[in-house]
Amino acid sequence: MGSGRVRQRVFAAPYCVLLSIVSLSRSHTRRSLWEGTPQSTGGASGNGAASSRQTRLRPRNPLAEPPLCFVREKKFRAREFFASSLASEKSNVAQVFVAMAIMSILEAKNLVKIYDGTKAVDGISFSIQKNETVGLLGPNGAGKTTTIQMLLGLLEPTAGEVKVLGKSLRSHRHEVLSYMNLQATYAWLPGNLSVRENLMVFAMLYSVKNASRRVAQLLELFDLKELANARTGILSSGEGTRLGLAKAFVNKPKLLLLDEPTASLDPDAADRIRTKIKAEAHENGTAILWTSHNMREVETICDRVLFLSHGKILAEGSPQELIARYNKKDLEETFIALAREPLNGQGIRNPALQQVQYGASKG
Amino acid sequence: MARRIFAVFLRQFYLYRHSIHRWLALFYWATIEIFVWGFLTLYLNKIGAATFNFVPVLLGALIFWDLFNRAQQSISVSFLEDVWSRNLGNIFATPLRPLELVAGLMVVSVVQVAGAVVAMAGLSFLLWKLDIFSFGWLLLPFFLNLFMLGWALGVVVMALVLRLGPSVDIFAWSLAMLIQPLSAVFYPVSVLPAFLQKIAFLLPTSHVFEGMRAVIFGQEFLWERLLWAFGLNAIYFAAAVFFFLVMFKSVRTKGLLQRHTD
Repeated sequence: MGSGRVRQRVFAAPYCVLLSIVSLSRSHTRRSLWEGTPQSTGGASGNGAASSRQTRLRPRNPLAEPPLCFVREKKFRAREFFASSLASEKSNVAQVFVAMAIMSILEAKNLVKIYDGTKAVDGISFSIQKNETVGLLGPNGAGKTTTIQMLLGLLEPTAGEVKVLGKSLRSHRHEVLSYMNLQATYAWLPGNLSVRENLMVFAMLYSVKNASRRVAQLLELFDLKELANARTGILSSGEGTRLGLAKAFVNKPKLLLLDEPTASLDPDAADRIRTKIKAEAHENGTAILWTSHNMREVETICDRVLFLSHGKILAEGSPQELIARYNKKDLEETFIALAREPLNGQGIRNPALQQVQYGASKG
Repeated sequence: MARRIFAVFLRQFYLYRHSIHRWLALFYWATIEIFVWGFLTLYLNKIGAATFNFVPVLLGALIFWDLFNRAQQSISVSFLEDVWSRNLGNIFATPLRPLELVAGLMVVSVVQVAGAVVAMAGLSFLLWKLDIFSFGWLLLPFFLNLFMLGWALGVVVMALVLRLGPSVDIFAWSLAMLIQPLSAVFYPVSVLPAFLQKIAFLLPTSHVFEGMRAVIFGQEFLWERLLWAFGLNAIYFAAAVFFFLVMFKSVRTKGLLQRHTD
């Protein structure tokens, strides 16, 4: 984000506070950042999953209806903001402060990918905030990898837009890619280079300052010090995964895309890897998009989950919310229920999901 | 930008540092060719009753052709290394621009070709008393032209591999050879049939080798040939880079990058 925009926001802060007080005094919270009413029960839909919802409190999709302080398309002007907000009476303290605190690392809007007339990804929209870990779930062929490839610029979307830190991937591809990194089982590192050499090459590709020092840090952090001079091709799965992750953190990314990072690892190794990822991500303020078929892992590590099927986001929420919404024992059961439920003509599975579907694709 | 270009070079440097067979490949054929063509020139000198020295003409041409051939192969094969190691997804997910990749591979080719040519020239001097450096700086612009066409063809191979997959890697070793018959490497363009001469002069290599022969024979410096070579090379190199960028975009649109690296 440019320093000018930061200055604009800082400048706007007193206005925001003032208008929030005015708004609060004039009306109760009409629209908060949280949609629905607490403790309301479903049942109108007649759907088992829907009726089981104990709460419909869920975060409003910031892309579907961006908070006022967070409209990026327009040049931010505090006075305009103040005037328009006061007139519409649509602001409140929570909205203003949360909106100012929210910093979308990634915004994907209406992403579509069509291969030979087949929609692999069908108009998905979502965002990821700083320090947030979002799980991208779905059955095989749901469009997860296609989505990740589009986010990385390896695949050109048929329609839609990807923004990282407010910058369009299409128009600022190389700058945006410097904020990101990837670890995926299909993106191998050259087996004929040593562990240290691979990290050095990628440190240079990301123009990391003091590359040797950063590489030494990563070797230490991911327990690769003793393997530093070993050829990458002879590493075990666990060691290879650790190297892939070290490479993924080489540029201290703001957005990290992890495509099944713990696949093929034993539970102990997977647990260690998860801990390291979380620790390093927390230190750098990294947002993570994490795909996995290990639902226990997703429950443990993800703040929010996007369930993808046939290229659409069918459900969105925290793992606990989704489990509660579908009245299942755990996320694995929820996954199976969602994956097996037949689609109707519009690609929507049941009325309870329509709202999620609409909210997810509207932005 | 400089760091990313250096990274491309560094990746190949590390690769060669560990790989004896790559070093052998770099010098093996060069050494064999110097021996074979050296003996051939000796034989030709003998049956030609020493009225004409074949050594500088044939061996010199061989070294210059090898320079061109290696410049092309170096770029193509270095790119293929990342295809074979399924590393393209990682590479193109970094901020590396396609043109920076090309620039980095050009640096790699300069280093590799310089090594091979120095080795060939040294061997030629030791075995056959041919000192190509005795021709002085006059050959340098022709060297540069051979590099330029080699790079252009190398970039075309990169684009083809990117678009069609590693199954077309055969072009990496054969594309340069495709133009050898019309490049007048070992004989003047005048020996070609009239209609082929017109086609031959569309190749920068034919101008280069005509010009080089004139330098080797101590004739006047053929500026016209040099300018033609530079002009044609500028067009071909720009066209090759454009082709690569178009293919890169096409691959990203069609989602072929992942398929080729799977």
